[in-house]
Amino acid sequence: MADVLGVDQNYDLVTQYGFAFRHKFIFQKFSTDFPSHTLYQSNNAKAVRSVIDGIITKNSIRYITAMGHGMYAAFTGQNGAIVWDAAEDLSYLKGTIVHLLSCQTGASLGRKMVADGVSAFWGYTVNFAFRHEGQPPTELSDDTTAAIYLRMDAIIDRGILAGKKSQPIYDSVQSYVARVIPQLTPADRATLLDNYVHLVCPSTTWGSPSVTL
Amino acid sequence: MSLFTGIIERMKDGIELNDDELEQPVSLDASGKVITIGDVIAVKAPLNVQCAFAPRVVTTNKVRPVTELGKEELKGLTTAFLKASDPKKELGIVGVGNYSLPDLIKHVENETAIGDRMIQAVKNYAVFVEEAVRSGKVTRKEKGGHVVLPEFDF
Repeated sequence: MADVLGVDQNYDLVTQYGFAFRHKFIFQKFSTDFPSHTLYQSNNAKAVRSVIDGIITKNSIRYITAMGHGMYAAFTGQNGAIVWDAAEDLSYLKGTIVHLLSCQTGASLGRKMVADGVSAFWGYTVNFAFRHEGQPPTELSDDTTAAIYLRMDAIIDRGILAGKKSQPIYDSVQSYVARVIPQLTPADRATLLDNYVHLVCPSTTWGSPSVTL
Repeated sequence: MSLFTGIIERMKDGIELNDDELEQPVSLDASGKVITIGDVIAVKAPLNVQCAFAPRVVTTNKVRPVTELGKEELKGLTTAFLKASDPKKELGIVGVGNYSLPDLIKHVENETAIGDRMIQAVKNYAVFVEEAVRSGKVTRKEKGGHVVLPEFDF
């Protein structure tokens, strides 16, 4: 049983897509799929440092899953305000598992988080990109093209929440890509592969491969 | 072992290709002419795989691996690749923005950070395709249809 923090934003079309699919794949049936965990969410206007830090310090958060803009050394919240910066002391995150669906943060911020005590980090060392319909459907989570990409990332969350170690989760991601990629168009294949090859996790150097929630 | 070995080993039947996709650019020859997946199959696929596709004549020294291409050549390849993709789709980059096909081509031409990412993605894809072809992991797409996503394992 663990306290879980979800951070999501919806300030532009791309983050709205992320928001819609993370809701569909992870949060919508959270209490049914992962009944032993308690979910705290810090979304949209509340996806800012003061609120996020407050939740972390007031609860025993063991897993943080966040979606938003990232740079190599920082993750930002709603409208670009910095939430975590590699230049700062991040030891208050000690013992947590962190997964960031954002661009680039796997390169530097993730390593710094692990150096400061985060047990395991999942993220991407370059931009996380996904193709979607130029005329998005009314319900963004109905976009079958965008689903291809965001489902891959949701495997990480569902694996961690199910108490899996990093290798079975990474294997599941790899199996997913192997099953889906033959069916895609060339441009979709290139984009999905680019996300896959830049995924970093505890099975490489970003934390302990044996840690579970 | 490459970045893609694990994926290629796990692929059951290989990349499904229709006739249009056989013409997808994946490299250039010495004169700058586009090399397609079909060309790579004709030269580098196992014989049984070559036989599954329409035969075509390609001289073996014509197909240059994408890893041998210079920056300008990669820009040309990426532009050709993008122009062959579905113009109705757009690319979202989390927290950065949304890009149409013409936007992406401009970024490639202007060598912006986004353009450089596109070039790297297309280069990686070409390496993946060549490895899949060499491994015989390509197959003819028998019919159209939508993508079937597997259920979550967890």
